[in-house]
Amino acid sequence: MNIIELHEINKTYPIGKDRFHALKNVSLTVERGEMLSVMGASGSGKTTLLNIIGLLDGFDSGEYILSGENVTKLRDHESANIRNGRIGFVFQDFCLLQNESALFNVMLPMYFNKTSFWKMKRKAAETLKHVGLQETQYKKPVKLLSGGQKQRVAIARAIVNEPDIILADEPSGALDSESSRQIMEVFKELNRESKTVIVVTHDETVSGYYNRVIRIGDGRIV
Amino acid sequence: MLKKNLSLIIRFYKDAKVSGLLLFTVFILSQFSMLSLIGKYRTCMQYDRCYKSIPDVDRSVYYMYGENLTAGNDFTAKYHEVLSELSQNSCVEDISCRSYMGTVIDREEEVNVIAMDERLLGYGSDTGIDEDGHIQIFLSPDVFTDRSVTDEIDLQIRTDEQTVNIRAVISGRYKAAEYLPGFNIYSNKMDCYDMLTEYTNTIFVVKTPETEKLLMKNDMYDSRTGFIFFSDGSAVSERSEVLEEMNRSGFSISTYDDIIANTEYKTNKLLEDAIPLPLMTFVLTFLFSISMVVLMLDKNMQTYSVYYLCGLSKKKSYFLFLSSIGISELLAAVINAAITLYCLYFPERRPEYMQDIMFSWNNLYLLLVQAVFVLMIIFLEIVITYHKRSFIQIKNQELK
Repeated sequence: MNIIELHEINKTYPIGKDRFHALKNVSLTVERGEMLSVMGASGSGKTTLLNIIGLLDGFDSGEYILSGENVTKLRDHESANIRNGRIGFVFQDFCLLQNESALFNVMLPMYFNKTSFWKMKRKAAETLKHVGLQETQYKKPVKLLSGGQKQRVAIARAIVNEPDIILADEPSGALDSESSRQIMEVFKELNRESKTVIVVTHDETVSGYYNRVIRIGDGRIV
Repeated sequence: MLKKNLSLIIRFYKDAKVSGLLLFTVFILSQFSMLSLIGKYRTCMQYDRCYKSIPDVDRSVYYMYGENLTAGNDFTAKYHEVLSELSQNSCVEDISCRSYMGTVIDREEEVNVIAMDERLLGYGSDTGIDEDGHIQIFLSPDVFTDRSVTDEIDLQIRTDEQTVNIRAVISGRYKAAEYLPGFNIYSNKMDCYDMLTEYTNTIFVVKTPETEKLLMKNDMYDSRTGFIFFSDGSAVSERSEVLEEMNRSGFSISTYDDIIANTEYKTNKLLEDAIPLPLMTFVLTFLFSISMVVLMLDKNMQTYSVYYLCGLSKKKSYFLFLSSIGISELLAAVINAAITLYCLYFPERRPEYMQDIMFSWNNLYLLLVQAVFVLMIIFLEIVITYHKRSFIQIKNQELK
């Protein structure tokens, strides 16, 4: 069963007076429970594709079906609800609040749904434990954690609301090889728990973790 | 949900404690300078309003008898004689001045007892005495604060020579900034500012034959200044005759039109002098508060882009931004409202520099209007700085 269907997606960006065509008629289907890698050179359009899948960015033309629902034109709060409950994000630069604790960062997505205030802390702690962060690190400001620990916090934040899809943009890009391997193991484990994982990367060494690899170049799937 | 929102609102200031405190201070100053500005304007207007609210004042003249107000009792007999003659004139409806009746003691302090006509006091019955035979008294805001209107009270009124014991009933209490004729200044450019006084430490009684009898006429000291009210419909020529007669008898006179013109001139001058500083303070603090808000929004942009990633909609972001700034604005408004209430209830405890600022209940509405206005501008700022930028733009600019 398809969880993501992209049909003829076009995306352009303004550059001065001209427009840069980032995605050209991209069509892609992802099955529920897949672990997919999107590979390509820098500037090929892979991050743009991920942002569109994550409803972080719009597109000029085409159609996007998510879990059978057409999400091509959604209202602000509708796409916010999907980002909150059905998609988790992990970025190379973590996108964490550096001065806040690991615990608060993981609690954050629950601030924007109906999870009770009192349950948030317990659930965040459980999720941090699940991704392998030591309990002594929970209350530390994120800025004091190592790269690998930060990425675990980011993953915990991505999965705390139990989304179906996890989108990761170069998740091991800022990590050493051992941390990188550990993070990929976490993703693999999440995939085993039937999460759909899409990872944008140019790191060929971790290609063994994926069910499928698609390559993108010059805004087209090749 | 309230707890969650409150927690995020508080976090708005977590990394910007100093800026937050500065913004809060600037909000307080901005609101206070607005209240000062309006208070000073209101003070000027209040003199004019109080003068014009004296019944039939537009057909009155203000006089001073003799050249020197502190000339003692030498002129008293002559003065009363001349007033008596003037009052016989058919076009003179009433002659109204102030009488000093002595003092009473309230909490170890001497309080003046003053008698004036009902029309000048704005209160009182025809006789100045109630049905039970008690003299009606009206208090300035700071006198007998432990007593209420309708309370009966025993007054021991003292002059240099004797003491009179009177049973009185408190029939009214003046609000702060209720200006009444002071009868202690006369100038050749007579205006409302010279004429009216914000009385403190005073008990008023209505000046009638009945109250004069009770308070013993012999010990009354009439002011050498006062009003002559012409009767309605009296001819201009008749009034001119009276004025000429007064001039010949040693009176100095200011007509209603003279006083209004002099007041307008002085008001303009006062406003020119008094308004620029609070106006400048208001404009500067207002602009500064807006700039501070822009800075704080910018400082929180990164945090809000992370919130957006976690599922916060843009609409709710505006709400959180606005609530975070609004809570600071609201707290500042509460402090200024407290200052207003304090000044309204304890006018005598106001600091010296606030004496000419008139506080009013309307200040509370003004604070609300200003808060709404500021929040509207802030909302516009939020839309300009945040709405047009996508998460990708903010992430690329802020997070890298």
